[in-house]
Amino acid sequence: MRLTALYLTSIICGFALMAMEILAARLVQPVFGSSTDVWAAIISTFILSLSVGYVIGGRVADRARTNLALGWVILGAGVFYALMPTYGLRLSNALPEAVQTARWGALVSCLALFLPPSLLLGCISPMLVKLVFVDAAQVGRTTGTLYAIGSFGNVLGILVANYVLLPLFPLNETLIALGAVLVALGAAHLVLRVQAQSEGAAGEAP
Amino acid sequence: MIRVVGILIALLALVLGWVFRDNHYRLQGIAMPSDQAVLHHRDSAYTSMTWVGSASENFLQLRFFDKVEGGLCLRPTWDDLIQLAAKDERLKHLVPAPGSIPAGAPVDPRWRGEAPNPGTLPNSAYVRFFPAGLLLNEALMAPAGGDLHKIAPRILIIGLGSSVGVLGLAHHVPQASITVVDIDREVEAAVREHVPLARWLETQKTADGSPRLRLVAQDARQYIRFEVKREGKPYDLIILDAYTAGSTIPSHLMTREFFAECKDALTPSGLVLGNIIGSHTGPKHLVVGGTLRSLRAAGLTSAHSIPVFQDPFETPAAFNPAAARNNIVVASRAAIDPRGNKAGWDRLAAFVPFPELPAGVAITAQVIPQDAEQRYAGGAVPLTVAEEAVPGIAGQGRGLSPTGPAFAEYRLVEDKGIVAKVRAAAHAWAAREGLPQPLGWGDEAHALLIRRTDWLKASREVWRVSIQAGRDAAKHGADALVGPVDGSPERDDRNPTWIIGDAPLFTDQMPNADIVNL
Repeated sequence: MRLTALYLTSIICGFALMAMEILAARLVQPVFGSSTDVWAAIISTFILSLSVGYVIGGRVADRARTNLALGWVILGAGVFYALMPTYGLRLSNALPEAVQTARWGALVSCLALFLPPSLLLGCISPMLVKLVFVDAAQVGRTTGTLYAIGSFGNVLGILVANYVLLPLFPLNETLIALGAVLVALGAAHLVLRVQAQSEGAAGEAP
Repeated sequence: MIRVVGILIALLALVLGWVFRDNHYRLQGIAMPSDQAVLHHRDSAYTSMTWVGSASENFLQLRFFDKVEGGLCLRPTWDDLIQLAAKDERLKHLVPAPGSIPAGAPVDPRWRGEAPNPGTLPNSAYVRFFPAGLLLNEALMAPAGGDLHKIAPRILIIGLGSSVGVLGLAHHVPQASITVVDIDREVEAAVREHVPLARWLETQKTADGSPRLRLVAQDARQYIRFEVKREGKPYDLIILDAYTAGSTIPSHLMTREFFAECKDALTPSGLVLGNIIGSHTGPKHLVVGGTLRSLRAAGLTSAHSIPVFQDPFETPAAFNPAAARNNIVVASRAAIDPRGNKAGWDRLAAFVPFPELPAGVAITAQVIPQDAEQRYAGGAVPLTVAEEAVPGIAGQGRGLSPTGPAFAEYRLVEDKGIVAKVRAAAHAWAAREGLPQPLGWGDEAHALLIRRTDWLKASREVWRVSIQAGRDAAKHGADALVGPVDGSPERDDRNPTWIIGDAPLFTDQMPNADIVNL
């Protein structure tokens, strides 16, 4: 039950993260077009935020005893998703024309728009590792399974966003729906307690 | 407690996100008509599209995000054309059989009045040049005595947009069999719903049984590579008009290899005609020059460009090579440039767009507020509204003389008393019509600009001036990137960046048209 809940969290967050990456192209397209410059900006932003998120998430995880911090992080990401329809296009439009027409303009816009939510979702992975960790002897298996499930969520997010969400639903509605899912997930983690079971376990590892 | 507050804040964010979500279109704009209304809005995998209409400005526009893609004149309507056809044999091909007239689509309540039923007259400038791709085809036109009614060409258009270019071609060439390939089936659905004439053309056949209009939802590169071979019949004209919602050309449709595939899909005398946005100096010249160079490299050795003059204040004599504009690029294996094909360019010069339509059939008269620096300051209001408040206002103020294509008249009224009266009338009109307060009609309205636009004249004058400019440019040599044109003060300035050979070659290995177009 406890593992199922944590794996489900991983898959939902992975889904939301990569769905946003596909939606991001649509969000910046009116201003910056859809050249490879835009894709370079989007992908580098998301990978950068994962990288930073892993560092921060890892530090927070080491201090956490429960899933409380995890709940806050997911809730925060949900808020960014929910508000994206209000500031997304307006922010890109508000950039000076020199930035809008520069080849690196999309990078500025993507960093401002997508770094915060994807950084928060990047924090999730190390926090989940801490929570699913039971036994140093099985650290490879548990983290491996967790990564596999999270990546499967990523793949689902990409494919569902591209083939289902974008063609069938307006962008704003999709963003808010994803935000609602994250808010609900974050609220669930704030309300339901999961204890880390690995007190001192890392120290005992051979 | 703090957790409950956190969750409540997050829920509040969801509500706020929903309530204040940003639309992908704005209805009010500087120099835009104040009575614009949305007829229909939908999102697709590629864009966010909105049909916008204005009764006073006489347009039905398809906008991708906030950008105007193109548009039709609402009047003359298709019904008007059918009435004209009773007296003019040459419009018979636009008359449906009794009982087969398709009804207009149900429209959004924000649009008051009947469902639009536009005719064939364009509101956009560059699409009027599509027939040039046929008129320059000597092997096609010479046996027909130069009459577009006597040819039965196969035409492939890449990129549908509002369908205005298709309708113009169908107007001038009754026996044309037109295939449109667009990657976005939602754009095609939107056209079917809101342009009854396009929907009807899809059901019609030419004399030899080919469909007059066929809409295909597919990537154009795939279509040309696979489907054209399957069809087994070459095209007389391929029109390149595919743009992304970010106003760049998809780069895989702008390479030497793609152009070579187009060449293989054409008859020996067939043409490629492309709508290329760019300037003639500065970084954007690379797109026009690069397209010409890549077309030549693909074996379409005779390639030439026609700059579209659509600004009534821009003359070829004051041609600004640094300004980005629409350019009509034509290319063929047969000689089609002004030096090699005099007969074709004489046909272009003699062509009168929409010859059957009577003068004055589509005139728009508006008043637009001006700020202290004599720039447009707000939305346009119908001239009739101003005339009710100030009888005879149309003849007041001082006339500004456009120097380019003569299709619009401008008068500037600076009298404070008149401005105040018209301002009050504009607000009263908006209130009466249930419109939002018109943009820019407050204290910032220092003066008034009266603008009368004749859309039929626009079709003919923009054509005449642009064709002349394209012809003049050829005097500078085969490798001159169109211009400087005759009379331009810079005509003796042989800027080497204007040479086609210096522009980049777009290949599948380096298809950078979308990058240099930024």
